[in-house]
Parts: sequence; C-alpha cells; structure tokens
Amino acid sequence: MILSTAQGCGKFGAMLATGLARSGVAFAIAASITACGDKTPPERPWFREVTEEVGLDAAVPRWPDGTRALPEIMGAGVGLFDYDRDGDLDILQLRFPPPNEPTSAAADRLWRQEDGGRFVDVTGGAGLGDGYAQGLAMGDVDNDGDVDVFVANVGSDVLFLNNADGSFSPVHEGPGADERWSSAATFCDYDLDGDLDLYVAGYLRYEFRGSCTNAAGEPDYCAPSLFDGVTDRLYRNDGEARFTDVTLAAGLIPPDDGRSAKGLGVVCADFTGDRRPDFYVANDGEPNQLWVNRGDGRFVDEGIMRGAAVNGNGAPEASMGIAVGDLDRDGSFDLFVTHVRAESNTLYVSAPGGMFTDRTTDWRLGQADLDATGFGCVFLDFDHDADLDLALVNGRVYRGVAGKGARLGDYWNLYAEPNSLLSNDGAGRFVERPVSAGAFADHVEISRGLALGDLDNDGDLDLVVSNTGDGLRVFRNEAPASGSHWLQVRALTGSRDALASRVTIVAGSERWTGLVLRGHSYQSSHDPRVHFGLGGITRIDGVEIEWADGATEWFAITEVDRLWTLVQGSGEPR
Amino acid sequence: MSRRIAATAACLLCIVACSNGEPEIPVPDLEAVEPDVREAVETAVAAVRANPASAEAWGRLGDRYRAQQWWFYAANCYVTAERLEPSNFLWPYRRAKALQYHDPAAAAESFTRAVEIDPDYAPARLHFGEALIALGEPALARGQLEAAASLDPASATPVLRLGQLALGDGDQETARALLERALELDSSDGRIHVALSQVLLALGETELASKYAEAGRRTLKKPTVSDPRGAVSVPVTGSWGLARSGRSLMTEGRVEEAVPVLQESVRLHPDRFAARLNLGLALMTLQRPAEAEEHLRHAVWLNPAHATARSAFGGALLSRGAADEAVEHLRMALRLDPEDVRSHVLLGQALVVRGDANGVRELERAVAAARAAGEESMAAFAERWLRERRR
Repeated sequence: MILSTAQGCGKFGAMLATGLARSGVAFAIAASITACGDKTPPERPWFREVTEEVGLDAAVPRWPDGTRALPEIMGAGVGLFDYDRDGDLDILQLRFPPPNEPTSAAADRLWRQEDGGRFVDVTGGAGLGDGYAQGLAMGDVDNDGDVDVFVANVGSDVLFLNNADGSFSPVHEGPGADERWSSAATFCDYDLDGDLDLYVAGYLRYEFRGSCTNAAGEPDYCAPSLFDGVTDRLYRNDGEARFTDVTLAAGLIPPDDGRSAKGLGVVCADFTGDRRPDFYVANDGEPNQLWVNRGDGRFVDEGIMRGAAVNGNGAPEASMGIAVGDLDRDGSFDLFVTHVRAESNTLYVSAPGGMFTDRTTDWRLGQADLDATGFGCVFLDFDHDADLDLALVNGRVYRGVAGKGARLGDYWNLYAEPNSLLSNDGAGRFVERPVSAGAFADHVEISRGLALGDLDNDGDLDLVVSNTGDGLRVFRNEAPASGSHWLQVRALTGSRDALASRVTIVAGSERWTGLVLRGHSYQSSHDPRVHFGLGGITRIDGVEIEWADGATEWFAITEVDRLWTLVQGSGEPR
Repeated sequence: MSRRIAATAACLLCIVACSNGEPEIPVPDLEAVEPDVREAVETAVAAVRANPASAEAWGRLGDRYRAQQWWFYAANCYVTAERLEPSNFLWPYRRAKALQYHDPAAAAESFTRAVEIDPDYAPARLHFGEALIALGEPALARGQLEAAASLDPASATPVLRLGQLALGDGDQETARALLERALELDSSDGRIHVALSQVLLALGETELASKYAEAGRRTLKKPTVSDPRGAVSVPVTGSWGLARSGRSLMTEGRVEEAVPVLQESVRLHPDRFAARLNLGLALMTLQRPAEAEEHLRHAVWLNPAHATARSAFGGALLSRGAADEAVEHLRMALRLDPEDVRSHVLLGQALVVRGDANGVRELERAVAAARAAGEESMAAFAERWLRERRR
C-alpha cells in the first residue's frame, strides 16, 4: 500500500507520519489533518459573554455537592420567547432544587428584556411553576396571539396559559396530570386542524434507593439502563387549549417486545416530504424514533428503516439533544444528535423522501467532541457565510478527571467540560473553532440547555446556555460579517408562529431552506424567527413558504438584511 | 479533539522519554475506589516495580486498568510493554482496543503495528476496519474488513460492516447481497436486520423493509466477537465488574457460574440493584426460589418502579405459596409494563392459587396473550400447570 496523507504538523504530526510510513499501511488520520492542517486566517472570538452586562446573575452561588440522584445531573432547559409581545426576546430559565433539598421549591425564573437590552427578573407575580423542571415547550395553544408555556417536570407537568398581562395561569386538567419524569416537549399542529398539539417525551421511572459505582468502584450516577422508560404522550388540542391524551389512539405505544423508550429530545417537522408533521424522538441508549404521521391521527415509527434510529454501525446510542437544519441545502432536513462520551455525536443526513444516512465521519464530526458528553445543540449560521455551523454544550453524566479550568468545586468538577463550536467550511466538513467560540467555550461547566435567538435584534443569532447548578450564561454573537448578508423570516398563521412550516429563500439558482421551529436542542425552546446567512447575496428573488398545513405561497420580497413578517394567506398561492 | 491529540502525543512522547530512562508507572487516583479494585491495582503496580523490564508485568497492569475502564492509563502501560517487547502482537493490539472508542486515530496507529506483526488474526482486522470507519476512511476500512471476512468466513460482523459501507455509498444492490450473506451467517444479529431494512426501503420493498426493521428492533444487541487475544488477562474485580460479568455469564446461559460472581458483587456492594436483580433471576432459573426471594425483595426495595424486579419477586413469592403478596407485586409489574406476558401469566397463577373466582379466566387470558406474543412455551407451561392443578 502507498502512504497517503498522514502529513500532520509540528512534532507530533511528524512522529505520526513517520510511524505510519514505517508500518507500510496507509490511511489518513482525519483528526491530525483537521487539527493541524487548517490554513484559515487568524481567528478572533465570535461570541462574547454578556451575562452580567445584560443584568443576569453571572456569579452563581456554589451549588451543593450532588447526592447522585439521577435527575440532578440531567439539568434543565431554557426558553426564549417574547411573552409580553414588545418585540424582543425574554428568557424563561427552568430550575430544580439543590441536591441536598430535592423536595424544596425552585421557582422557574422569568427574565423580561427591557429597552436597552437588559433583563429584569419578573418571576414574582408571573405565576409560573416551582417544580423539578426539565424541559419546556412554547407556543400559542389558544390562538390568542401570545405565547403559552408547557413545563415538563420530574413529577407533574404544567401547562401555563399566558394571560397577556405579564402573568400566566396553570391549567390543572389535561397534560401533566400524571406523576412522571417528563424530559422534553414540543408543540406542533400534527392533525392540521389549526391549533397546536403537544408531544411530551417521557424519560425514566425513577424511585431509586440504591447507589451505583463505576467500573473502578468509585461512587457515580447510575446508568439509565437500570430503569424502565416512560411512555411518551401525545395530547390533541381540541380547541381553546383543551387537550385530550391520544397516545394510545395515535399508536405511540411501546413496541410489543419491550418497554417504553427513554426520551430526552423531540422535534416536530415533516421529515418524509408528505407535507404532514412527524415527530423525531432522541432516546437514551435505545433506538431513536421517527414517528411518521399517517394523516389519520395515527403514527408509525419508521426510524429504523429510514436510517435515523441507530448509527451507521447499527448501534443505538445515548441520544440527548437534537439539532435540525438543511445542512446540504437539498431542501430536506438533517438531524444531528448528541451523545455520551466515547460515542460520537451522530449526523443523520436526509435525502428527499425521508431516508437518512449516517454521515458523521464524512462531515468530520466523528472525532469532534468524542471525549465529551453533548447535550444542547443547534445549527446556525454564525457568520452569515451562507452555510450552517454547529454549537453544542457539554457536561458529563459519569465522573471523569476534573475538567481543566473547572471551578465548580471538587464534586462537580469531575463532570465539567467545555462547550464546542464547529464551523462549516462550505465543502461538507465541520472544523472545530475553539478560538472563534470565544467565551462560549471558555467555561468548563456542566451545561445542558442551549437556546438560540436574536436577543438584540441585530440580525445575527445569540446563544443562551443553562448549566447544572442554576446558572445561565448569555453569549452575544460578534462574528465578523463584513460583506455578508442575512435575512430573517417570521412566518405567521393567523397571529401565531407557524411552527413546522418550511421557509425557502430563492436567489437565482441558490436556495436555502429553514424551518419554523421552537422546540429542538435539549429541553429548550428557541426564537421562532427563521434566520438565513446569505454570504454575498444582496438581493433575493423571493421567499417560498410551505405552511404546516401543506399550502404553499410565494412572497416576492427582495430586500435583505432585515426581518420580514409573512402571514399565511397574504402571499401568492403556488 | 485537541485534548485527545494531547493525550496521544503524551503516549508517543512517553516512548521517547521512557527510552532514555526508567518509565514512570501511571497510577490513577485511587482514593475513592472500592478496596478490591485498589488492592488489585496496587498488586499489579508492585509487580511492575519489582520487574520494570518485564513487558508481561506492564501488559498485566494495562489489562488491570482496562478491566476497570481506565482506558488511557491502560494505553500508556501497553506502550511501555511494546517498547520492551516490540515483536509481541498483544501490546499494540491491546492498546488499540483500549483506545478504539476513545481515540480512534491512536487506536488505528496501534492496529497498524499489530496487523503488521500478525496479519492473520481476524478480530484485529475487523476492529482495525471499524476504527478506520470511525476515522472516515471507508476505502481503507474495506481492505481490513475483507481480510477479516476471508480469515474467518463464519463471522457475520465483517460482512455486515462491508454491507453497511455499501449502504453508505448508496450501492443498494451490493449492500443487499452482502447483508443477505451476513444474515445467513448470523440471523440473530439485529444490526443486520436493521441495515437490510434500510436497503429494502431504498429499493422500494416497503413491506419487507418493515418486517426486517421489526426483527432488528427485537434483536438490537451487539453480539460478542470472540477475541481471546484482545481479552483482558486478569480476573475482573470490584462490584461493578462482577455484576457485569455475572450478567454476561447469564446471557451466555452459564447461570450456575454466574451465581457466585453475582454473590460476590452483592457482598461488595449490597445496594447494587443490577447484581441483586440478576442474582435473583439466576437463582429463580436454578429453581432456588427461597434464596432468590431475599435478593429480589431487596431489588424491589431499591428500585420499586422496575417491572422485571416486581415480576420476578412476584414469581418467587408465588413459589412458596405467598399468593396474596405475589398478586400485589405482579399487579404492580403489569401496571409498569402492561405488555409483559410473563407477569400476566404469573398473576393468573397467583389468582388461581389464592382461589379468586376469576383466577382461571385471568390465567386463560394470559395464556392467549402469551401465545399471541409468540411465547408458546410459556403458554404451554401455564396450560399444563392449570390442568395439573385442576386434577
């Protein structure tokens, strides 16, 4: 065999190349090439931390040592929404009580963004929950023009209706009546009847009195495999926020050979091209599910045969967060799923029609973050260069060596990891950008939720991270975008965001497709405005929207570098 | 990435550094580990100290670390073992195995040397191929996998991997042929069913694809590849490892051998749920319900929402005629897992034993459910039991 491309750089690269040459076996080690062969210009940080600057608590009090009860390591998410309809995003920070007081109340915190970009804690009087929060769904369930909130808890979940006066009212019937460990949730009009339904992913049946150790005999968190899963729930909205549990009727029951799956992430979109919203569920240690909407109120899990349930080796993985985006710009949505360390995160690339292929290594993601445990993740075009980049947050669930630079105390340092930013090189590969990540990757913490939105309405996307230990960090996007252009679309059906609708920008032969999506990443909810980086494109031909109900309209708008609000029914039918 | 590269570089640099002097023995922080594990590590370290020029001693220390999943410590020891004994296949091979899922690039580098020393060991070719797949080098992987398939024509896994590569390339016809061949070699490997379902769907054979997908879902467990030269040479220690070994023995049908292993795990860590449950299940299989009851009772106490623990405990109680208590636990098991036909049958039996008016009807329903689920032997057993009881 002939030695191919083991060039590497520096001393290590030379040693490696020598070793390979001596062996006579040729292979290119992607890791070394990616790490040292990069010839991009010097980087500067793209994200700056503004947590304190915008009025949030930057210094979080030391979180008490854990008790190794599983819920305390799974974290809680964060949501971005304009709850007061004043045109800017506010923050809902989910919380759970400290490990040493697991039954105490921990109120979810509502931060209102005021003029000037500062956030003010308006939790008092907002009427939101104080359970053991995990994930959330946001959407206008009663079609009254404001955003309502569903909070998934360890224990009873709660739906809160927005009273449009700065407060919320819990709905005591319907979703959340049973005591379960729910993890993630999403609103989506699956039956296309004009109101938002609700999918709630269930995680584990957890009432544990035992204790676990790892392979070395050190005390550690138990593996989820010790526990049975909890069936996911689908609630149909029968109008005016009255919900009916249709889980059984919809066919979302465990497969007949085993127990319920262990869901941690869920997204809703049409993944099969039949213009009906489907649900994709990330399961912990078990095959992911792609619940394909049959259009008659029933769903069939086709995840395995469509290639989105297990990785290319046929192995189920510990799936947590989900990112969705049209990475290869073929008009269909690809899925990126985060996993525990020693399992690569997996990129399932979709072909039109809904067949997925594991393209993790093709996109050079096989080794990125292999030594980290990924949770929240988002696709976004940080730098407006017209392709989707990737941000993900990390933190172990099993102890390791204390993270270098971690300052969480002896107990939590064993679980702390830095976050990651990977940029798309435009040629079908991701490249790690530790410098560009700036402050986003500086902190070595236990991060879980990651929410995406244009907090300062300047056209680019900012990031909000939730950490175990009640911490929240805000990162402002300051990526150089000179000469690059952007566009945002807010797609509305009536007065609510048209969740699960597809938005396509057309500029000559170029097309970019995005999705109106609040629920993705890990236990988090996002800015529903669809963002596009356009590179050097200064003018577009128009925008095509395939609404969630299947209708398609064309909007002949041409101006870029602005937000367009497009309402269903006001475009040209196609 | 950078952290892994640094670790790999440290390993390689160690070869250089160690060649100039006495190699440093890598020892992890043992403060929080179980006493048995600490003792085993200290013994292996002492053996290296006593004979630092012994590749065997370094290799055994590497194996000890690998058994306890200290992967990078293990890898470092194998590096020294290889330096001391460069012609021994075991050291680069075991280093590669230690790093395969943690640092595929470093693993591939060691696999390269291992197959250079012994090109005829099929598992090395297979795992090397898998590492190359993880590195995004399918063409090179194919060569190793073809070698593995040729060296061990009875093994389905290399053929499966080749089929998966063809599937990734979009070459459905080749993928189908390979996967069908793999299935002939091992029809119990769910991964083959899964890949075949994807190929068939792409080829438009939806119904057949669906059948394979369902079969794959039922059997989606990674089969063990026999790899005697890659296995750790030291006995497993610590409650976690023992619990895992016990479960593996049970999976292999070696239930009697599993019992003492699981008992030792329980002795070391009485609140280890997995060990308690599996020990209870093993003892039930061996018709020793009285002993099983104690462990299953503890398992239910530890993890009261676990359906299998409840069901097995109900079975143990029923064995000694404690029907009332058995009914309580079996009803809970069915609430937790309504589809579990075993709990259903046991509940029917328990109701019959305690003389419930609807006990027989309940058992007959359970028998029908078992039969519908393909559990013919369970259904037949329950029918036989009922007939004998009626007599």
